[in-house]
Amino acid sequence: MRLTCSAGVLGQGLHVVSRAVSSRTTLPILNNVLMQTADNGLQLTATNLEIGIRQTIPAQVQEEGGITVPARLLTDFVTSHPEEPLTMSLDKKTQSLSLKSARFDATIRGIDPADFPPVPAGVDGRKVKVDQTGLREAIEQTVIAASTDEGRPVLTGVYVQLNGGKATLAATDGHRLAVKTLAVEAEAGETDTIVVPARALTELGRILKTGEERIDVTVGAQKNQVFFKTGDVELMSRLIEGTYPNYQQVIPAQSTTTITTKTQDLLFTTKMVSLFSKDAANVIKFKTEGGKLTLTANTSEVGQNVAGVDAKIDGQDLQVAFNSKYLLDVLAILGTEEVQLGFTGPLNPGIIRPVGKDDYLYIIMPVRVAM
Amino acid sequence: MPPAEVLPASRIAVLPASVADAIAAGEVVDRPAAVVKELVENAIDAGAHRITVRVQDAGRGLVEVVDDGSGIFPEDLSVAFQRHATSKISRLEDMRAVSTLGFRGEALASIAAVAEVEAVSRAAGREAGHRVLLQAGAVLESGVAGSPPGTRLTVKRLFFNTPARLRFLKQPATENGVIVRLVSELALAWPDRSLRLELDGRRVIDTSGEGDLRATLAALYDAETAAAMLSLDDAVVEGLIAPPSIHRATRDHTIILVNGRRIHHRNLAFAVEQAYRGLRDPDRFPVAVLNLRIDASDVDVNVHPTKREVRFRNEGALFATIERACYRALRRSPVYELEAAAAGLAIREAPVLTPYYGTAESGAEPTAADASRLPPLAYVGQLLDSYLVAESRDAVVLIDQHAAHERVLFDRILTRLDQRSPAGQLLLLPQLVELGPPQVAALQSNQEWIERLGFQAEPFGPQTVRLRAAPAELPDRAVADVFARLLDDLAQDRTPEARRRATAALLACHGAVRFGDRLTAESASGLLAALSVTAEPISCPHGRPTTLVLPDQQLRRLFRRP
Ligand SMILES: Nc1ncnc2c1ncn2[C@@H]1O[C@H](COP(=O)(O)OP(=O)(O)OP(=O)(O)O)[C@@H](O)[C@H]1O
Ligand SMILES: [Mg+2]
Repeated sequence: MRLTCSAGVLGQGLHVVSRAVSSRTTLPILNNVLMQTADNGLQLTATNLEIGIRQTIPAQVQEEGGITVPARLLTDFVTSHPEEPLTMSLDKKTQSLSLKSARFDATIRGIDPADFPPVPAGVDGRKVKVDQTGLREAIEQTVIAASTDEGRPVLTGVYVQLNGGKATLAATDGHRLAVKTLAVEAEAGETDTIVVPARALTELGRILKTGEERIDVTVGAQKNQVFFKTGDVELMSRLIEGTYPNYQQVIPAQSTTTITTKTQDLLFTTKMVSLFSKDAANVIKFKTEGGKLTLTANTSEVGQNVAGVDAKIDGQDLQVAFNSKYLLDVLAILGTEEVQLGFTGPLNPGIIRPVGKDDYLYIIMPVRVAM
Repeated sequence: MPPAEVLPASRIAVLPASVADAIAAGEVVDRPAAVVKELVENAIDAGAHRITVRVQDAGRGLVEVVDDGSGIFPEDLSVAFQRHATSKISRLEDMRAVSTLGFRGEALASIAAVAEVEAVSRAAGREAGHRVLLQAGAVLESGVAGSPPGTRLTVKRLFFNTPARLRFLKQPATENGVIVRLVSELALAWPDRSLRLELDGRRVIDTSGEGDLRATLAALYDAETAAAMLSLDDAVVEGLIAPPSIHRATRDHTIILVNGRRIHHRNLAFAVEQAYRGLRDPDRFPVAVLNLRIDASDVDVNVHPTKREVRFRNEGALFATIERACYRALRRSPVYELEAAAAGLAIREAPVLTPYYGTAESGAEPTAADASRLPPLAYVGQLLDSYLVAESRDAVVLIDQHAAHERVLFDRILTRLDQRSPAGQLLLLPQLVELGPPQVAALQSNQEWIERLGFQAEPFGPQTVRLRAAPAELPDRAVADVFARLLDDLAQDRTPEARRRATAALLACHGAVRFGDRLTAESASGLLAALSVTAEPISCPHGRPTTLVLPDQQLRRLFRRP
């Protein structure tokens, strides 16, 4: 293996794929990045066995070959290196990679690529095309509600339903739920449902660019893998097995109290008030009375904070409490100037929507407190 | 009883029937250890300073107790072996305020009835000694004999005429174990007496008798345990109790004395355990030697022939006094400190536990409120996704993230329970829990309590409930499991206080971050801040330490810095 490429381009590529490098693993080779020559350049691959990321960067290949080297060291070296051509060559006998430039002459000990877990270059299955900007937003708006607790694996994923020209993404941790619909262009077929690890989607979200360009998604025919491809980057993820809970029944059909207010204003006020709820399970109270909205948080040891928010209120007066974190999470990613909150009493699910858009909703379960 | 001067011997007389009848009757000599107990107690009553116990073949071969006490007048020596013969009381009124260990005048008679006993004694101030030999209660020989001042009682062929008792003896190792424990307890009860025990010629116990309880404990346990013990000294309760980091698997190490008499009193031992609440693992028990100084007339020792059981005039008040005294001493207990040996280095100069908050400069005793407080901690990082590392003024502090969070949640949940301000997170996906009959019963009878925690359960079939809400601290995954365990807990008969703490501990344990959870710097510092304002930051509700302190001083020593 022998090739020349730009340090800057290699650095960017490593930055993308090393997101899939395990930070903690008992398998040393998973700390490595796989480098293989390809038709049009150098292919970089990393995997933590759950997800794999691959990017091909332009390079002048003089001799074919491949090697795996510690991702961390290589990335640190390359990204600190001046933006100059780098020549890499492999000594097959010692499995060490030499990196040469005008001023540096480095050698990194590697591991034979034969030991690297296979990361398929694609899967067979149903093909879908999605707008990148839309998908990125959908990911942002749903992963926040996914569980981080491995206790119920299926809730650590985002449920995706493909139905005609529409994809529905949903995530819940048992206390809140986010549901987003998105237009897609899918190959004809039955309704498909899969559960994609939220972590994989978060990584995908980082890779996605804002632009017109669409991304190719392939849902593996075995329903155990999903494959994303955008430009020269590919991301492969295994899927989570298990039945996703029926979340539809939780979504309230109507509200008896609706509050419409400025998203940023509510976000700011909630943040300020919740400083006083840290020691009380983050509980914050909403109260509407005489057309006014008041937010309260108190902890016996800390003190309390009460704040009013300008809002348009329709319907009955209401007092409801919930975990402020759940509200802050959604307000931060809502993306519209105004937000609407709907309630049907202190013990029923509250519904939060971006005003002027009907492709997203967020359900928040209240906390029962002594009012 | 100052052991330095020798007590004069007292005359022994047989109690009148009216007095003898009032004494709790019953056989006290059921095993070799009982012989040891009676003989050593007699020696203590005789003001002996040095008492040597020799045992062979677990007491079946020989039990011999030699003392340097007051001795017995020659003319009284055979009287001592008669029933109800005592020098310690003479009238019924004396029994109301007994200040000696013996008073029944029964022990020697009982022993002599079942063995061959030789007694040699020289009374204080007399020129010569006297000797008697008895078998099955009958005097076989009696006469003048050479003897050092004091008394020697030799018991051979124990139970030779009572085959039933012989059969009930346990393995020699077991009988020896009971004897060792008994002599240890007597030594702790009487640190101003030097007690020696030799088992088959091997010296097992040897206390100096210098009057220092800590030194006595060091001779019986080990120097480190003794050094770590916290001392208590108030009007009623004196003695030593172990810091929470030292504990044993059985209750045997909680020794309660009343005016020097070892008693077995379940409830008072429980008062000691109670003081450790929140600092102690439920299946580990304290090491404690506590002497209660109680007016002899406020305690009735004439309940049981072995005098192990006593009655107090005001047990409730005594319970509270003990608990309070122990509680105070414990809260003065120091922050857990990392032992050098634990770091793989056998450096023994440093005590295992030294108060982190030395008040050397001020010289003042730390107040109970400050002592177990943590020093201000600056968060440094997380190790192995399980421990937090922090830095304080002059030490490295390691924090067990789970234990620390448990402590924080425990306090929070208790506050919430007390304020009756539940925070029940409603569940988006209600959870079904299957219950057994005792759990169903516990649910029905504790409805109010369960709701106060934040749970909301509705019936869903005869043995199943549907949970619609759960305490806000609990992660979704733990909800059903904690609910079932809570019901198991509630099915047990507990005092309201025990129930309150058990419930909070259960919720705290399951709500806390786990080992292996990676924490953001923000939540880790938040946890440290929250921990430092809790009432008992140094240990989790189960009594395990939350924090280990490695003083810079010690680090320097480990790195061999000059
Ligand atoms: N080691 C001893 N030194 C001096 N006097 C002793 C000693 N052992 C026994 N005596 C005398 O013998 C008497 C009888 O002892 P014994 O143990 O039978 O009865 P007690 O100690 O009076 O009462 P109890 O039956 O409750 O032990 C004692 O009252 C005491 O005067
Ligand atoms: Mg006696």
